[in-house]
Amino acid sequence: MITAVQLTKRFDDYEALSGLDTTIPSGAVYGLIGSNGSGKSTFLRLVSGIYRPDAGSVTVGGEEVYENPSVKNRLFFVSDDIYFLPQATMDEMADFYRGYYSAFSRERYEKLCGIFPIDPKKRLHTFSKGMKRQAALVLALACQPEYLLLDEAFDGLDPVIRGAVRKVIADDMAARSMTTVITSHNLRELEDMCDHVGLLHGGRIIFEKEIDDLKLGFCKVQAAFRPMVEAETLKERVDVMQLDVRGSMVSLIARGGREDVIAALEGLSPLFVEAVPLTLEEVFIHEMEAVGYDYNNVIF
Amino acid sequence: MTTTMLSSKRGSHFGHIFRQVFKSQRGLFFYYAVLVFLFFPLAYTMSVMSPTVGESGRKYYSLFGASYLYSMPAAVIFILVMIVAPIILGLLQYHYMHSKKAVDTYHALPVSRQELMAANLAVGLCLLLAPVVISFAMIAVVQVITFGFSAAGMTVLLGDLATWAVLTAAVYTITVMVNTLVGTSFDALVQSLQVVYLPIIAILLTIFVFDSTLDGFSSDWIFQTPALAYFTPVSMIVVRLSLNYYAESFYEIIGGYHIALAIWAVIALLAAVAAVFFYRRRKSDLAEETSSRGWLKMATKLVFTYCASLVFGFIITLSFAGTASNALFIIGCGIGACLSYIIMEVILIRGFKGIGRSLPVMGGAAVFMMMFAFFCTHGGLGYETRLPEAGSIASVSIDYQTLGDHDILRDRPQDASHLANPIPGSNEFSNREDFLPSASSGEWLDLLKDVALTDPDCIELVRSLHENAIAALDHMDEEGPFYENFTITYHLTNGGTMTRSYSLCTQEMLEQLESLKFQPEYVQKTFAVFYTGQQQVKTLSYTDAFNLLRSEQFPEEWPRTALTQQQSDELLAAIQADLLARTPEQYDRPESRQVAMLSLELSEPEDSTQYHANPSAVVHTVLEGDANTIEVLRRLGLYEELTASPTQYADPAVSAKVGYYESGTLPYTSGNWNGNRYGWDSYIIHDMESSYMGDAAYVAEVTDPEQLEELIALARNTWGEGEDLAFVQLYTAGGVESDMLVIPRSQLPDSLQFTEYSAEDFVEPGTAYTRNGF
Repeated sequence: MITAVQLTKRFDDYEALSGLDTTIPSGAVYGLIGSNGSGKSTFLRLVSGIYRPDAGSVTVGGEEVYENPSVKNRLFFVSDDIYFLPQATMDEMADFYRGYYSAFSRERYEKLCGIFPIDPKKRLHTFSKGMKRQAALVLALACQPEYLLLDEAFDGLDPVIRGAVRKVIADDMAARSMTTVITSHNLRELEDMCDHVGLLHGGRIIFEKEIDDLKLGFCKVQAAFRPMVEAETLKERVDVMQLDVRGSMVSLIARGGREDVIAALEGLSPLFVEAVPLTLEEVFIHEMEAVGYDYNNVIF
Repeated sequence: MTTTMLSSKRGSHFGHIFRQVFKSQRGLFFYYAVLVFLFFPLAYTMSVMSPTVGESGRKYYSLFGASYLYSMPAAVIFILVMIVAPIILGLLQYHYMHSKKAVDTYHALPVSRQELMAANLAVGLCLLLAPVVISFAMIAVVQVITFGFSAAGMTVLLGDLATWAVLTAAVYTITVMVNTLVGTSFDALVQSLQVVYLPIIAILLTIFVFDSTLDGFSSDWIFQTPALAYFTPVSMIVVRLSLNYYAESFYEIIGGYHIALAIWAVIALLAAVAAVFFYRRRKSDLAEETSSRGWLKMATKLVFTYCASLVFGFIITLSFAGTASNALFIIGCGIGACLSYIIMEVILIRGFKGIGRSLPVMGGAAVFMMMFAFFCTHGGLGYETRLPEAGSIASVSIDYQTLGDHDILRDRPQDASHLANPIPGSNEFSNREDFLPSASSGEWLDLLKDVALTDPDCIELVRSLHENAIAALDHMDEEGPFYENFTITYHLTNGGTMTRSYSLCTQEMLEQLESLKFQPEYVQKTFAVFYTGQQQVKTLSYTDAFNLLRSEQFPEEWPRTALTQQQSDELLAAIQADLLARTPEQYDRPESRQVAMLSLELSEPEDSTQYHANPSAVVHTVLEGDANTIEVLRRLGLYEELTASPTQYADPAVSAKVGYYESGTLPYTSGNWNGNRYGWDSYIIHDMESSYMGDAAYVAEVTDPEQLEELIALARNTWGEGEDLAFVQLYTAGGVESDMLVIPRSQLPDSLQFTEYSAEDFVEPGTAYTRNGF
């Protein structure tokens, strides 16, 4: 479990994190979202022991991380700006990490090299951005960490590789109960993968929930009416949070269970009515409004 | 699933880091090792394999350095490699600290920073030192094969190895420490160079400024030893390579050098410890930061500002020199401080943004520099005018200036026993049959550099001289200046010392300096004859005023006679009495001619801490006014022989040359002496070489017996102020040349009073004239 208590980090006069509190349970895939400069990468660097907190604490499994090699041995941090040793190949990088991480598995490394289309004997500086990221993920997963910290992990990956990465991570979670923390400013990227999400804004996590809990309180429904019913009529029947009318098509987000909302709308004799999935972004917008944040002040 | 567990002990990655870092730096290591090998062991081997062989079959090697291991110009490249390599390695090896993405990788690794730094330091030192150690080992083998085993050679070789190891390690660890404190590799380079070299530059500039602005301040005592060179590793290396094992100064320097080397070893160690300390506390986000904050940057900025502003102040003063040069220097320092501080700020922050925050410190630096410049140009807050109270002076030392004879006194025998063991590769080693006998005495004697005076009259005279020097500060132009260097050191009753040096004198100061030399205590401490103690003059050698009198048995030597203890005591007492009786007036307007030169060959000293230059002989010049000495010489039966005309005792075929310069002055004295006040000085007489005659405008060869007698009677080694002089030298048919003496041209016979217009017409039987240069 990763626990941050009143975690604070300053860069000169700028406070990147101001008293951040969070708990990331073991075995979770935690998505950390936030705008550029919100402190996502700083948080991961604090968790991985690169930065020392200016105040507060961050612990992994109950132990401080900074200058604690035994805890760091259970963590692997994949930065958004990937570094490899000059002129190194992936095999050489594997040798590099093998000496540091006690759980490094050569077998796993070779297996991962077979999954991803990259040549382990080729010099890494000749790789494209996406290939470098694949290499970094292969090396990270070969170290078999208990905690995998991914900063903008999917940046530059094509959809096929994204899928492969998601699957590999899922396999590792299943096999070793690995905890994964992924940062992104792209909610859709995390939507299919995370079971927990947190929104970082102004140096704090202003909102975090399990994905499943997020979607229990409201639903999104699309319906068609001819003639179109009045908006007020719709609002009388369901607790509308957002309403979008285009011709005879109505798209709305309303509080309450999916079946209840559909039943209420069917009473207005629609041409059709159906529930559609909520995007994580839509969920966040409304959840934040629910806790008193103005959407317009949070720019993704 | 098979998991490779390479790290058997959690937390111990030293070996792995070592291998990884070594692997990453192996390219640099290869080039470095090749260069070291080429320009050190290989160059040495080739040098010892191909010596120059002299006609006698002796071998001569072109190696230098205290250990005679280095050949030119290979040594120059070797030194450059050894100076540059630690800085380059330090920058390359720790470049990761200055890259954000590299920091993300390294600082996320499950290894403590202490271990990471320790392993890196170990790799760096191994990379730097391994080629050096191996090279020295190869050279040692070559040396033993070529010259045989020499303990002395091996000792000095190990000393050189220690020097390279310590100084290279120091530059490297300092560079590493600096790396831990800055955000970019560029800053690391700039700051490393500043940390290593700025202090010595600042010290040299300060000395230069004091020397230029503060009257009484002298840097001579600072530069008399290589101590300043110990402030930087590079100059330490240069000193080591310039050491001459066989020079008198070797043992004087080597002790201090080893202390300095030990200090550098401590500095290297402290820098390594500091590197670990700072690295553990280094913020990872410092990578790529280009701010000008931090104590190191502030310190180097201020020291740079100090140096640059002084240079700027001097440039301004020299460019616009006038009556207000002091004000220009002060203003120049202030402007220079602002400019140089901003330059450093711009370099460190890579632009002008945020420069406004530096203005308060910049202003402070400018004010400080202007105050410092004011201090220097306005007497150093009383430094120039400070004169110790007479009652507070225990003794005073003044730099030694000999008056009459050649003996420069020395004290404190220096151990020179190492000369018995010459270094392989040196020509002294190859030709030790010639070399060793001269070193058999086993000791060297140190120069007596100044005279310590305790007599109240002497102290008061020196104090008065100093007082006049202070008083003359503002009106030297009206009363002089006469160029005369002297340094006064007061030893105060409270244990302190105070030293002042001057190079300009007024007329009164010159007279005071001169009269000081006739003070009994000064005479007793500057003439070798007073240091003979209980020694006996076993043999007395002597010659006449022309130095033409020779032993019949050994024509190359002076005649000699043995003295009894009583005769010895009488002679020493007479000489001492005559020396003490001499007066400044005689010195100024000498009437007394030289009568003879004596060489007192002494018995070995029994118990004395002071000796004269040649422990076996004291040379003394006897003047006509030395009544006591002349009386003893009469009793010894030598006076008549010494004062006889050379034509009576020398080869009858004696002849003379007379010459003079158109200016009428002697070449040695022209332009350097003030009004011939110091015209009488046997030092000059003895230093006049025959070549002066060759350089003269007019030379007459005299063979006529009557003219010869006339010239001999007129010749003297003294002259008065402003006298127009000719000089004369006697020659025997046997080829002996006398010393050169002078004759006032006004006293030359008419027949020798030729001029440019009449010289060629002036030919008489038995006399040949030439005009050199015509």
